[in-house]
Amino acid sequence: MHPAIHLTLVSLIQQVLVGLGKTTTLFIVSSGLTLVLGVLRIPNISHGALYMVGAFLAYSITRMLGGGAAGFFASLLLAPLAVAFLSLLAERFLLSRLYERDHLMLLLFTFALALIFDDLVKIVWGSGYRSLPLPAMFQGSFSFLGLALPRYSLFLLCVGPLVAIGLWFLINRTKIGKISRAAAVHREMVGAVGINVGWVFAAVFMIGCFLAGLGGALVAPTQSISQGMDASIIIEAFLIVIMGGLGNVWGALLGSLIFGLTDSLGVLILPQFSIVFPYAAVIVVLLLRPSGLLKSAW
Amino acid sequence: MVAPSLSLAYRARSLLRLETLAFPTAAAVLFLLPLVLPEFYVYFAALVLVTGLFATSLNLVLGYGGMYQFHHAVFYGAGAYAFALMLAKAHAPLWPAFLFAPLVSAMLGLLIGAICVRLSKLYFGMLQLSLGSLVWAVVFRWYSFTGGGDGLHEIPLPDAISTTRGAYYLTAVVVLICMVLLYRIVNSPFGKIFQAIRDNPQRSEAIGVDIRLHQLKGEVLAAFFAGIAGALYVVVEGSVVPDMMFWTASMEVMVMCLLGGWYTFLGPLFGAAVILGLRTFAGIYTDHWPLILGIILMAVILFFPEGVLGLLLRRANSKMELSTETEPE
Amino acid sequence: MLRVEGIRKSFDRFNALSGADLHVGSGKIVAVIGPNGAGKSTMFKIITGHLKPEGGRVLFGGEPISSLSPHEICRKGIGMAFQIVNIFSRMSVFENVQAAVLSRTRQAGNIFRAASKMAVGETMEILASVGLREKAGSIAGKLSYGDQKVLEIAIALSTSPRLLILDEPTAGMSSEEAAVCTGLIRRLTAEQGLTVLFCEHNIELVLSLSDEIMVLQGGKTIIQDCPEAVCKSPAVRDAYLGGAA
Ligand SMILES: Nc1ncnc2c1ncn2[C@@H]1O[C@H](COP(=O)(O)OP(=O)(O)OP(=O)(O)O)[C@@H](O)[C@H]1O
Ligand SMILES: [Mg+2]
Repeated sequence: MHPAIHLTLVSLIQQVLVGLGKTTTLFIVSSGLTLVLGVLRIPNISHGALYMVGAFLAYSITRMLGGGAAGFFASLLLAPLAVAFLSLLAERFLLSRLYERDHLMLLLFTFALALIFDDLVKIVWGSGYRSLPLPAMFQGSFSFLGLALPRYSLFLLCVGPLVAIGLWFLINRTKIGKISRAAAVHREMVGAVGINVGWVFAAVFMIGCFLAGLGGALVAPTQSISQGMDASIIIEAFLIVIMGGLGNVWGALLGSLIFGLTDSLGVLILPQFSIVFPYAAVIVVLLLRPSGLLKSAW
Repeated sequence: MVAPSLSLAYRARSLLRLETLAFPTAAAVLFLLPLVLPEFYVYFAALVLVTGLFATSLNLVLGYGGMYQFHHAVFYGAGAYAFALMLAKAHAPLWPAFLFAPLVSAMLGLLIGAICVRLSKLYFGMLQLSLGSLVWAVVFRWYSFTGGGDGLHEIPLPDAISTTRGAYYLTAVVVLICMVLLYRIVNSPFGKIFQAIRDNPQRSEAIGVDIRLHQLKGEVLAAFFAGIAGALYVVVEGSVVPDMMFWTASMEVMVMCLLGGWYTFLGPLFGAAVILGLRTFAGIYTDHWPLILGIILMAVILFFPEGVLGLLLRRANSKMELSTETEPE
Repeated sequence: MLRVEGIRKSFDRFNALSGADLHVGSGKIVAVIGPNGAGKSTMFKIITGHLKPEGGRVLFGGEPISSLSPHEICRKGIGMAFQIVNIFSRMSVFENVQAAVLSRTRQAGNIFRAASKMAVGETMEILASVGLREKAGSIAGKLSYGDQKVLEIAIALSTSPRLLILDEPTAGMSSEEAAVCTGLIRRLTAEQGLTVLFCEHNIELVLSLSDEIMVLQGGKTIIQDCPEAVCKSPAVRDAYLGGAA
């Protein structure tokens, strides 16, 4: 094989792998967003702020537990749980009063939450950058047929499907899942049947925000943790959610794949403006299917 | 039997009298302000006027049209960049550059609008947020042309408007004209039908209104005026940065509309004054302005969902209705 | 003028319409009757383009219209008063009617004139003809239910339709309100010679007003004929009166 072609083929495959790794975090974050949007009908723009809180918490937890693999795995569980708890407070004391308001008000209210979370991060962690090393077991690459496959990307590729299976189980096999699916379609009816919708909503909101925190914890060792890391992820997540169909978790999976792959392959074509490709993809999708790829919840 | 229509006409006429008085009063006040205010306040007043025009242009589609215009700042930024680039890179004279800016914004409004108006309400908003972010990303990364994250500074402005007061007077005149135009648009058949669509889209269709086309026109108009505001921003600040078209800027201007009141014409201008005033004031004492804004926003949503001016107007209206009902024949 | 041929429509596998036919001649007043849930409103919404049929055709003046959007159908000359009040509830009564007049006169895109001075005479005339002139300044959403239904008709009239569709104009009204509304419809049809398609549960009104009656049941047309023939038809006796009793 000609070396140049071989080189591009290798870089192509590696880009795909990097893209898939990015897909995992995008999927985890956007599935949480779409869950909340489908069931509670809240376009939660503070989702990105919660993702950032998750990353900062993961940093602190890992540090506190010595910075090794144990700390890393603990942070993957504890940081999202703390984020979920924070979101539970916000839901019970504030958002639950606003369910009847229109989307615009909910959007602005969650923007207020985002502002407050952002500022709290600034107060607690200061405005500098933080960085967290990868645990030793995930450092470096795994070579396979002459390809260098980053270990952490492979790890992310295992986490993604696990989360997807967990969500599938939650939605299709648990009572909360069944009620919330019904609530997404007929809000009034669920209330009429005598189910306390309030707690179902709270639970769904917590799960959605847990996923935001998990996404943050997963990226913490791969990039600098800083103020403002929330601002771009939330737009990406919005994009994925509308591409996949509002409220559809599988749509979020599909959307993340499209986003992750067009983005990472776009780098090979137009390095400076690779960001254009995912947007072009979403425009094409919505021109063909005005309500997203998969059936939206409403 | 004639009494109610009489009182209606009476009310309309008294409102009309108010309107005809409002314009010369506003013009006189705006003209006199710089004669009594110190430099910084003149600058601040100019900024309030610019931001107020920007917020009012948003309110045309958001408040009167009921469209989820989630990313209006893109059109503001597009106008600012178009104006600044024309002056700094193309060395164009002031007026052509000033006309070019809103046209660029209107074109962008046409483009984004054409993609978005076919979608349902929330999809419209969310896609617009995404597309607007794309525009921002391109501006942010195109370092050689737009100055990237640093923006463009020291834009060469003609001497007459490079002073604070000069910039103020240009701003005041343009904003005043634009506000009159916007007021007329809101009260034109176009504006009334726009409000009808907000009130009941299904009914509007059934009386023969092409909703998509109407919304697209509204989008282009709103973008046009936002573009003028953007150019004025450059006049006042002498620079342009990509932050002014970041999505958080769009949220902030929505907060201004909300605070002042969606359904009122002057509400957004009022909201802009309050938010800018608080930000400047708070900036002296603390750097936790986001926290303060967040808390204010929450309080407004929870307690004054129709905004301050909206609330006052409703109070006044219900009093007026009472008084007209008891009006003698 | 209007011809509906074998239209079908289902909601989540439930067949609301399964082959309904209808013919409305120019200048005729045609009533559609049928038990609750027969599919009357669904058929009307298909005619006005608010719902898309799954099969069959709708012809207006010989032209197929079922692929058009509601505003295009309205511009072709079909005006509709909905069963569930569908007005601009936050606008004044005057503005409700004026909006329809402005839209008909193609002024909707005009940004250069003050709306408050446009189409005032015509709007007031329409309001006077339905008896809402005195309430021109009230907020539509605050009117009594009967007045809202009348306003609904006034809005439909303001589009100057060649075919006026009324979906249960007197439903839910008190008997006095219903009497006023019936009188209004009588007068309008007599004075203006409108072509009207309506549906109504008040059989007395149907019999006294209509030139032809179409009976719809279970989403199918049973018969369309003059009132006498429909009354005598055994099929209607069985299906409609039997079902309603
Ligand atoms: N949007 C909808 N979704 C689901 N089912 C619907 C919908 N609209 C109508 N239906 C069903 O279709 C059937 C026909 O409805 P339709 O409103 O046309 O009846 P109708 O003849 O107008 O009855 P009524 O006399 O009560 O007004 C009913 O069983 C109704 O439940
Ligand atoms: Mg009906």
